[in-house]
Amino acid sequence: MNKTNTPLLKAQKIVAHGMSSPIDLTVLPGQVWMLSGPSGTGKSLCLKSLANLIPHNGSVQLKQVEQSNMAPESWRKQVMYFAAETAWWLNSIEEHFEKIPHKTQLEYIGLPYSILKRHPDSCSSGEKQRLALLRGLSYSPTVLLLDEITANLDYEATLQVEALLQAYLSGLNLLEIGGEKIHSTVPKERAIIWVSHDREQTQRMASKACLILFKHEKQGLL
Amino acid sequence: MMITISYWDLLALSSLVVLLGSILWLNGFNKVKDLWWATLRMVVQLLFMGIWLSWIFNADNPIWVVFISFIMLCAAGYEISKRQQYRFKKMHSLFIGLLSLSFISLILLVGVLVFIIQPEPWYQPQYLIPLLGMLLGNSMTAIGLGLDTLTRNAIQLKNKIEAQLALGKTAKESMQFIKEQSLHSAMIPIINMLVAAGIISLPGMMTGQILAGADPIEAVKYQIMIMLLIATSTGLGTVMAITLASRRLFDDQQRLQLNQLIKTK
Repeated sequence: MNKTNTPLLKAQKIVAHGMSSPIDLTVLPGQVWMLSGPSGTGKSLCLKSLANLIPHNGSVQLKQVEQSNMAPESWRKQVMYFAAETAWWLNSIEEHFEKIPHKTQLEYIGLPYSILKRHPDSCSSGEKQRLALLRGLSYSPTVLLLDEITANLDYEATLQVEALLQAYLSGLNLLEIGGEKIHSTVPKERAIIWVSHDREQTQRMASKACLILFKHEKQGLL
Repeated sequence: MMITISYWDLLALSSLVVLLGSILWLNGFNKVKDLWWATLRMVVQLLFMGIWLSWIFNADNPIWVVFISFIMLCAAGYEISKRQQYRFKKMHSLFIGLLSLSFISLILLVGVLVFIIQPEPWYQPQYLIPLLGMLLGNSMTAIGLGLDTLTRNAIQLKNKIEAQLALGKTAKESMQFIKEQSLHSAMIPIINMLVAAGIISLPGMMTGQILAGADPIEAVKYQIMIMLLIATSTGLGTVMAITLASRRLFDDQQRLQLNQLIKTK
């Protein structure tokens, strides 16, 4: 089927202030791209440019729609950036959700329903990372930009996060888990771009995918 | 009639600050010079103001009223931008401060002179200048505090703003939690001032009028008026300044632009 050959996200000569070299990416549906390289080469800046969170040069297209032709809010809901350190700005977990998650959704990510009432500071990094994923994935983003999101987690929590992401990639619908009827039967096309220093993680996740090495030299791609 | 104070009396009183400086120095306070310098400045500035004012009251020319109001506005705007730990590039802090200060304070001032006090002519400096001074002094403090809280929090809580942007929230929505804190820190001193008025503190203007021989009830009415004006002008001025500043922090693509801010202290 030629459908799968249409790139989901295509980036050409993306460069932001602080990045060592411009980056090209052509991400097909279902792919997981693992990015790694020495610190200071601009891996986070690359992800933030893809999400249009920082000023940058070059072209990014999502399903052939140019980034600059889309309102930044709608772009970011589809090309969603997740930080290593999750951020919480209100006093309880549940206030951070547009729609309070359903019990089954929390069970799915292995957390008790009561966690919603807690203050974010009282939750562990692993709990917060899973909650942040639930918060973001409930918008059904098309491309996930993951910035070392398991760097602060232990092995168990890392595997839980990976399992959630694998399920999401293969069409998991969080709304459906939350008990809502979904009219569309066509599974959404999704992809992941993941910055990770964990070599084993790269091997576990990058099965269908490519490995980019950021380098200090001009030839940024390997 | 008001009992006057002689310059010799003031000179004798200034020995109090000399004494205070010495005692502070003995207690390890190392900014005695600053205290004395500030006191000297206060004396010179106020004497100048006195000379200025009596000259302007006699001159009876609106040009001078406009001129001195303009100087007062600029000085207040400068004070606001000077008090920021993080200042906007290209004098934007000064513009934001000046605009929010002058817009609200001037509208309120003209309104109250034309419709309430109704002196003849309405711009009579004896009324206009002290009222403007009180509005500016208070607004300046509140706007300065509000802006400082906003920019400092934007820098410290950058991750929390960016996380909201990443979830597809607008710049305005992502700044809401910081805007709330900034309004809070700007308004708390004003609310405390309102609560303390008449019980814990005798407000300066009222005290002055009473000392000058005015009827206390009349002095109180003036004080209530000025308190209402101060609360309104500080509150609205702060809302305006915070809104303008938080817009400045983002570009047209709703991206946080913290490089607009430079650290000053």
